[in-house]
Amino acid sequence: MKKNKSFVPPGDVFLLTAAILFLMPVLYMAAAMFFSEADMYTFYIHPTSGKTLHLIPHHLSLKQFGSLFLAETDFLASLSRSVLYAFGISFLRTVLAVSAGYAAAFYSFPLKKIFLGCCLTLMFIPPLAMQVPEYILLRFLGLLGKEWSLFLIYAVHPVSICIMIYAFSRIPSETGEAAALDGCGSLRCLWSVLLPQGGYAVYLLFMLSFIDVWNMIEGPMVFLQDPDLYPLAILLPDIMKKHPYAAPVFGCMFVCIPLLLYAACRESLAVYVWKEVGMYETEME
Amino acid sequence: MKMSKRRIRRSFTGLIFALPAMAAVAFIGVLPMLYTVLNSFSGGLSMEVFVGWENYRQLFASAAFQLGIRNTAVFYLTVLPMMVLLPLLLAAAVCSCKAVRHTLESLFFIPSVIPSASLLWFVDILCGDTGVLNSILVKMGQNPINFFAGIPAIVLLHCMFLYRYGGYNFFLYLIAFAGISKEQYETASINGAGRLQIFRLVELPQITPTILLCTAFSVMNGYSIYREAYLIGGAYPDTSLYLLQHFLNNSFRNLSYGKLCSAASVILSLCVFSIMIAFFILNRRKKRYEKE
Repeated sequence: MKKNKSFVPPGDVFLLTAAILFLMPVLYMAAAMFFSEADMYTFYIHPTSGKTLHLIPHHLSLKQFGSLFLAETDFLASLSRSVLYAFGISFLRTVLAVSAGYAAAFYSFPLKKIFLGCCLTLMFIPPLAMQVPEYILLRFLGLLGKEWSLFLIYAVHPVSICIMIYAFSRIPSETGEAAALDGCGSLRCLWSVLLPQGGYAVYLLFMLSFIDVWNMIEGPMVFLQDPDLYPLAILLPDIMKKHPYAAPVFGCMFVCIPLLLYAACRESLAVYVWKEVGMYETEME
Repeated sequence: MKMSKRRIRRSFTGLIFALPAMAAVAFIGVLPMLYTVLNSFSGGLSMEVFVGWENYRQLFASAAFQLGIRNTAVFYLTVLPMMVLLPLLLAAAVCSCKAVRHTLESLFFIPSVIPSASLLWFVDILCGDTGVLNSILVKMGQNPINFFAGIPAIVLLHCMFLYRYGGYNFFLYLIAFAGISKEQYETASINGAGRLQIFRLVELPQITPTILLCTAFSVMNGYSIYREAYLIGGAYPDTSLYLLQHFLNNSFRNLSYGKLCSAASVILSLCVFSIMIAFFILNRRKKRYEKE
């Protein structure tokens, strides 16, 4: 049967439409960033006959961006706190997971089985179920109400450890042995030989950790107890309510950092898919 | 048997690399878990008084706990099948697209990256008292609906959960579908199998382990639904949105309920454990049955 190459199947068109509809919340929010105050009031805040969705403004305006710098919203300070928490905790999680994953995949050491068993068990314990003892532990350490409490509690992430063990165990053990024969020390072998091969998993892990921490609400509320230390995820709804005119710009700024990170890690996600099925090398050739 | 020097050295190196994570898991994971279990059986401010099952008795008598556990159970029972099936169907459909497959993969995964707090603005525009949906209802001559209470709130919570976390399962299914060789598709097509038959006879048997994995991930992601429920209704939402996590968080703040909180944590952990173990046993039996 002859196939017309320029013809896009209706199934593809349908799915593409569905995918764009999926992104409508972000698209409408991004469009509303450029609405003037009058448009925002007419369409969304005090409409005369119900709210209606609009992608194109009557009057284009960049005035909403000015609200980001208002001292009373404290938006930028909260955003920078969120960035600090998300980057710091994700970095710690990744370092701990890479180190433990490397050890578990390539070495046998005392208590290894117990350690792996604990990681698997802890994966299924709801984080909220651990709040009471974590709170007591932090109080004992004198870290309650301090930013460091979040770093300590959230750095331990059994799922991340399991992801790295899995990623490293996919690399043939001969790779590490060959590097050792060539005089590589353990640290150098990890840094120069294994990490380049398992790097895609590190990016993936960092991105997933970042998104997780970026969204955290319950932990900071309990452990920080001070709104001046809260990340933006907790404060954003209040900021949006106080400044309804600039709500889209606040929402978009909060979305754009994880989105940028996703864009940077997207290639690693694709590599992850292909590595999983052992097709990466042939595809690349 | 004497261990060789090399083996001891390797064992020591492994321990050095694993030690930070081991210490962290022990102090931040295992010890708090044990403390929670012990705390649930004790009375008073510290753990010196053993009260047996008293905390559990009080817990099950608490109306808030009953409401929380009922809503959480309903949420899991209804959302899990959707979380497993919808991304599966979507991934199967995307895999059959040739021209725009990679674009679709990215577009469908993006919602997983979007923070729930940002979605709130759109949710309010869409579902608020004077929102788009209510405007449509009024224009059709119907009464407006409060989307933040009762059954509409539960539906909204389900939609937000599917939107926010469905992408992870979609991604896992993509990996599973990519693992099926082209030859199998070609053989099935030559033998006259249609798209549905290929899905049922070729794809579905090979992605069964991924379905289990997605179920496990969905259960874990379900813990985070508190975030969405909190953003919709705050710490004390409408009774339809009151989850076990609300009970845990609110009773935790009230020191007199600290013991109840521990007991609730143990109950929640046990429930999740039982579900996961049941899944793993079923999967193992299925594999054994298939081998035979």
